[in-house]
Amino acid sequence: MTHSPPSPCPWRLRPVAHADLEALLQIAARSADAINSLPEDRARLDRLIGQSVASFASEDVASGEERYLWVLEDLRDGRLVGTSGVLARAGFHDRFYSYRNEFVLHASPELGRQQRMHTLHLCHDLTGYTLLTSFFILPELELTAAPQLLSRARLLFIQRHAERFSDRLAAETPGWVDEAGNSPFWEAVGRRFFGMSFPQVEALSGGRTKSYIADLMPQAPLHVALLPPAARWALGQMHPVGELPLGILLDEGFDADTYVDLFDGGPTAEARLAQLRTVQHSRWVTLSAQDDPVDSDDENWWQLVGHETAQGFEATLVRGPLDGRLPMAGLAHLPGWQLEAGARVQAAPVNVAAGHGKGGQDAQ
Amino acid sequence: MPNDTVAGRAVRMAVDGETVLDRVAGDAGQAVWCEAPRPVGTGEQAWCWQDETGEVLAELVWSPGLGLTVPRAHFRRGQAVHASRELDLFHRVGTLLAGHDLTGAAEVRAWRWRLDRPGSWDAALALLAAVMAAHGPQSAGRGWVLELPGWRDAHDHSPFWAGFGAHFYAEQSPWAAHDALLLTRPQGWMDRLRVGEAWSSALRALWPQQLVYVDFLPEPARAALGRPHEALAGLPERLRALGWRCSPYVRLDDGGPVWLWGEEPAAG
Repeated sequence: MTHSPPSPCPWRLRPVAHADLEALLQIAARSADAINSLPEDRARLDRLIGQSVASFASEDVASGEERYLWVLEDLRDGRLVGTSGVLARAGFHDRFYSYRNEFVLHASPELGRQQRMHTLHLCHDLTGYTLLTSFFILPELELTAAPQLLSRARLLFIQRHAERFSDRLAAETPGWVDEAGNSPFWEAVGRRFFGMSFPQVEALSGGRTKSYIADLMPQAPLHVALLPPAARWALGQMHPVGELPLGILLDEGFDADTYVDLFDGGPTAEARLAQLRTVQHSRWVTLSAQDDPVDSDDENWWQLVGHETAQGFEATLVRGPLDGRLPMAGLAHLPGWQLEAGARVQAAPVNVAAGHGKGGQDAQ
Repeated sequence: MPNDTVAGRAVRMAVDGETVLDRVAGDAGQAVWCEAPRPVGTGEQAWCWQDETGEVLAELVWSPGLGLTVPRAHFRRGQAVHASRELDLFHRVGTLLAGHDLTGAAEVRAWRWRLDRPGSWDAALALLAAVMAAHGPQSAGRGWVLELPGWRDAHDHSPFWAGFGAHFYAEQSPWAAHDALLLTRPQGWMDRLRVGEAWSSALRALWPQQLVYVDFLPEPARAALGRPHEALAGLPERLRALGWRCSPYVRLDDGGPVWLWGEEPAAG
């Protein structure tokens, strides 16, 4: 067993600020295929930032239309390396559409036959859920601890301010597309009714909500057996960019078998807040002035630490023992945290290798 | 009962559980079946057309109440419109919804004629006209139904079955899918023979219970909807001349058309 002093985490998750607009535009451009909630449009992105700033600053009773956006900042050079967000209530201004998988067993006693029938039912079940959105991490950081911080920290925030959110969470994942960038599910379903690609539909709808488009989708259940093989295969399959964030959510305890996206058939994960791993294991810990050595044989286990600053909820990772103390040294480098020994912070253990099946590397 | 244009006459047969063509139809290809053969039931009438020599050229069974003892389901063809002025969108989609709308109508079932005798088709139509006249025009008020076998391809496969029914028939052996497609070979045919009159209700239990969008069917299946078997290609025109019309209903198995004479049965 070897020991080594804990090294500070180079990343800080913090609320987005107006000064981040240019960097955020670059991220939106890089994530265009994956994140629908980060528009590649300066004006819209600026409004989104403004909405997030106001949401963090608001002390009023939450209405449900709040939107929170965090950026992951590399403290070594100030570069933004990722984003993640939370939408307080899905479908606040309108319905939130999904397809719900349903299975029914049909039987014919006369013929001595049974058939399990899979149908997709248009539904608004997830309306009112709290949505996890806008996950993006630079590809070169996918195998580090950064994605864990980016995804799980917002769960601490939701737990901390539970009155602002639903006790049920959901997260959409982009669906499968072929080499030409076409969605087999849209080609088999949406295009039959619209006669055009989904981007064309979005463009013609003039920025209206997706529920406007969903109103024009077939309202009767779809019989999966009648879909072409490519569409049946794509149902519930995700775009490769969704593998990491969905893997983390599944490790948290999300379920992705019930709902799929209306347009590309991508899986929508959902869960109750109370059943999530980070929430169940979060606790308040006392900061210790003593630098305890860290057992480097357990290098995948870190502490996810959340703290309210003047800007809002921030988070980072700290190497430390899984008990009631946390060395301050791991947090001293964070601007604005202003912590002293004996202070208490919100923390939860996180296995940085969980969710992507790859061996976790050192946070740096 | 003589007919002015076709030599011969319509004769109502005494029913003893087996009709004349049942006895002669053991030879392959001697008759065109409109349904799986079954004995003439209580309240039903069996009629035949005899030529001048007394030979039976055609036969039909008239039934007073479709689906009143064993439920009979059909698909009703409809359409849905998805429209949006903003998107310059107007899209009509065909739909199928299974139901029992025709319950209670009279039915011309087991209508068949000999393929090996010239003029049998004319005899079959003359027989139909004669039975319609025998019941009188007032009987049209209750509505009459005539199902026709659906379109088959060159391999005797039903495109509608292949594109729709086969997905829900729950094939339980490697060869059952092929045979069920044919509907005239063992397994599929044996199922149909075995369950007899209950064939449509048996299928109804396996078929989707909600609306089906025709757009999701392959093109051959869509094209087969409401299309009669090739051997009956000239029949629609002759039926119209007798006052029949092609209804929006089709058979559950092969999508064959359902023709109506008179009023549709009242709903509810």
